[in-house]
Amino acid sequence: MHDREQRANRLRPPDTPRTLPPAWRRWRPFFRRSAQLELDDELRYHLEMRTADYVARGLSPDEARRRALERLGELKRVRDACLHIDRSRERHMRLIETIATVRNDVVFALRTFRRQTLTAVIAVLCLALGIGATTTMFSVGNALLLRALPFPNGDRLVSLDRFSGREQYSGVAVTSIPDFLEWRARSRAFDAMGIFRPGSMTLGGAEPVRLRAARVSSGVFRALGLRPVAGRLFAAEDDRPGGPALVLVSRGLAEQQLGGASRAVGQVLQLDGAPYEVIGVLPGDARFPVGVDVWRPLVLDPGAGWGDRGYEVVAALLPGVTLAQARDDAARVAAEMRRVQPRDDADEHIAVSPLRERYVGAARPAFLLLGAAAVLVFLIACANVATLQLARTAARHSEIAVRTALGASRRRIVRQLLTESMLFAIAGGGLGILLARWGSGIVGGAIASNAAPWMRFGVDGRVLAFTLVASVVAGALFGVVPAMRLAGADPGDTLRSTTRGTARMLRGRLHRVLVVVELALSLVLLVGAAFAVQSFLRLQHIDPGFDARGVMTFQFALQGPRYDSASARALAVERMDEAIARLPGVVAAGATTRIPVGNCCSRFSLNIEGRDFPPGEVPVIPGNMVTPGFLHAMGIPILHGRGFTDRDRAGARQVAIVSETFATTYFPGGDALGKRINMDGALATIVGVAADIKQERLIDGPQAEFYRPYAQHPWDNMTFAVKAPSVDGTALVRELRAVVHEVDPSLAIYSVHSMDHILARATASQRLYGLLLSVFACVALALAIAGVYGVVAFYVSRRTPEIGMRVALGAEPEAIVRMVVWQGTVLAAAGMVLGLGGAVLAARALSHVLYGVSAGEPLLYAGSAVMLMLTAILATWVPARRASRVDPMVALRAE
Amino acid sequence: MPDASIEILRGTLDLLILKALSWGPTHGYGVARWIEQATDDALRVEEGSLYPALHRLEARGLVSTDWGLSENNRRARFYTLTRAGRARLKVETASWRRFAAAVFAALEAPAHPA
Repeated sequence: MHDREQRANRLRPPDTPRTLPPAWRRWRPFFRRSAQLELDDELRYHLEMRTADYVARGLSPDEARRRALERLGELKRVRDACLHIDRSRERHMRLIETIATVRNDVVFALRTFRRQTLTAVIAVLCLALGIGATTTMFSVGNALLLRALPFPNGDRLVSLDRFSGREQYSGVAVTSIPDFLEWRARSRAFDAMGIFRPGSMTLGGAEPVRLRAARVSSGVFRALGLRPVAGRLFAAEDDRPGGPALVLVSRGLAEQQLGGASRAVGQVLQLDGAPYEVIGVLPGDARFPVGVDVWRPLVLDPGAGWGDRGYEVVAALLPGVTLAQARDDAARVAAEMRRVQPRDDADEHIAVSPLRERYVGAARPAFLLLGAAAVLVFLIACANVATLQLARTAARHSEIAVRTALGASRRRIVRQLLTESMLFAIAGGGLGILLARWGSGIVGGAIASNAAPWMRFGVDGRVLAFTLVASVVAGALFGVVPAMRLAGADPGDTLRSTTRGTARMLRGRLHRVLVVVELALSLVLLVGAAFAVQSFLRLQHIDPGFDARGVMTFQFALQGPRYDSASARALAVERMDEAIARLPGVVAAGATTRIPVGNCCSRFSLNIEGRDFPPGEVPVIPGNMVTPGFLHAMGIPILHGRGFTDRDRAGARQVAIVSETFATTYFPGGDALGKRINMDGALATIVGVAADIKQERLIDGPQAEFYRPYAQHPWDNMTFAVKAPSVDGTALVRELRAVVHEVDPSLAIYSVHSMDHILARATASQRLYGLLLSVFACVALALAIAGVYGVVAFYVSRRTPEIGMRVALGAEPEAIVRMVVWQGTVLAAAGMVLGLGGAVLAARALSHVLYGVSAGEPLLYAGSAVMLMLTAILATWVPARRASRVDPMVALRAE
Repeated sequence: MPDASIEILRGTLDLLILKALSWGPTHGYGVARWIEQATDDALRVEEGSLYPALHRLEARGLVSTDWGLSENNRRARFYTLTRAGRARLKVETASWRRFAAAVFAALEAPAHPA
């Protein structure tokens, strides 16, 4: 009893605030209900007394009342003045009271944390993980989807892309200059429209530098709404043929190479061996396309070929025009063009999409996927802290009963417990922000691999606000349930018998339900992670069709006046080819237009001899110009016919090699050899059939592709593949640089990567899915297992007397262990059943994003379920052992 | 009931209310009556200001209120001087004395100071 009194004293502060005058407090409810009525009573009493006084002095009742009223003055004014004073006083009192109780609650909560440090720390860490995961994903989404584009017209900007009706728009630039000119002339929905083509240029100097470059029409900057930092931008007349050689440079380039923005204007740069005058400097953040350092005018030659489809179009919507209206307008333009100028690819459409999609693109499904996983982790963390809170409050139940008995209201106690939960949540949120600061850059950079520099994946005000909301939601989620439950208990019951009271109130059902939910959510994440890992493994086992081992690649570009003629380009590559082949250790080497599974592709409209394609169905097929050694260097076998040789040069018969799929698709009779294909007017005879390779993406199925000899179609941007398995990479690169320098000292080589690296890069995003989902799943599993442990441990402590009884009656320790383990097994089984439904849904969603997995993979479900089951049972082991060692005498005495 | 009663100076009303309550809890009408009687009806309380003044004193914690039964057995709001109110009364009384003394001294000064 003495102990209980002491405890009651310690508990006093939050329940009996001493800051309020007792009288006021006593009358407060009444006062609050009718401050106005009370005032009216008071004034009425005054008037009646005064009237009675006047009557006593001999006035008539009417006269007396009139004089009394007169003396009080204007009644309404007096009343309003008093009410105003009363109300502001009441507000003030309420504020003081609120502050006092909150302060008391917080102080009290901190005191209880000190008493239960371990659980408090665990709860805060759980929440930090949950909130940190969601905040990380939110800050990524914030950067991807919410943060404004760094262009003045940002919200009105759209990309326009041509696509044929047969294939969905795939993100590959396929617009030609004549397309653009037609669109610009016929459309009505756009303010300004510009066309551009990204590329690269070599800035001359002692050490040539390869720069990202773009050719842009003047409309691009008008559409973006950009202003130059110095100088001027391109004007409409710069789009015309025959203008002077002008460039704009980025602020970064101006500052690093040209002595500052204002001094850059007027300087002459040697780009690809030709002089260009700098006329303006663009702002640093607003580089478009991303990473470009030099912009040249794009000559809008109406005579340019329809077939040259390497351009992209950006436009600003007229103010007030919606995306839907713009799409209608584009559809009208496309229909007009089909009618007026039917061409071979007449089934032409125009895709209008927000410019943001250019940046978000492929990152969207990854973001949604990982975001969903983060929300699951968050929910699991909340459920876990809720179980911790239940256990905590169960231990404190007798204290709360004492407080209730001492007159603390239910509301008061709930508020006290919620304050504790909120403190947890806010501490967790604070740690979560630190986690997000660290994680958002990693995740963001990885899922948006071509993220623009302005997409800062950090923590900003919006992210902070999100974290605060997430913390409060978390606090409410895990705090309300245990709080309501405790406050609903009957204090008398508990005071009569602490053990029995606790057991009665906390049968543990809620506790178990929470853990089952945790297990179910964890299973969803585990299955998701299993699918992602499986997908990555399958991706690793795809046969790309070429042999990447020991192959080093580098790019170079033959641009500028020196390489204007095709024969100059052909000669330069031939010389490099020969010199590289002579290097010690080089097994084979050759150049190609686009390295397989690299960044993209070059596609051509092909007419095929003997096949009459109706207009609009002419196939667009990836093709590469290769030197004779390329297929050999990449280990791509020739299945029929021959490979290219030195004799396949400019004047000789035009030849081509097609892929196996090309041959079987267009020549099902197996008679591809000797047939001719028409590429840009050149009729080339098929002399060989090569094995299929993955040219564009690893995950694509077999595709029709073709090769042409470089000497017959000398391209400007090329990639060399050099197979030299026995030579050290850095030494080889040094040798290669020397060779290229010998051929032409003004050439820069860039994008130097091993083929293995290029393959790894192609699977990087899948690896990231697998990795992140595995991390999320592990966190979830750890949380869920902690939850199982908590429930079973609680079960054991509650049943200690019963277990003691059983032991006393002769039960074997094994039987006790079995009984306790059974508890965990039942929980795990229930979680499994519940979770499998969610897991199937998750797997179905994942199969759209991940390569090579479908929702029906029984092994993955079974494996995940068994893993969860086993760890759950393992978690019951410690409490089970404890139960089996219960000393019957101690246990029975406890009752 | 003389018509020509002196208007109570602003601020003085608070002091008089505190003084009225120093004799024990009473209602608003009682305060008004006490001021009239104690000053032989020479000071007439502006009743339009009396009640706002009482409520303001309550808000400042100088008086507290309670409902009780009046001498004629009616329900009335009683005002009680709080400890803070009592202290304030002491301070205000002292300063009034000094003020009045200073005014008197000025009024009875014999001549223009040399």
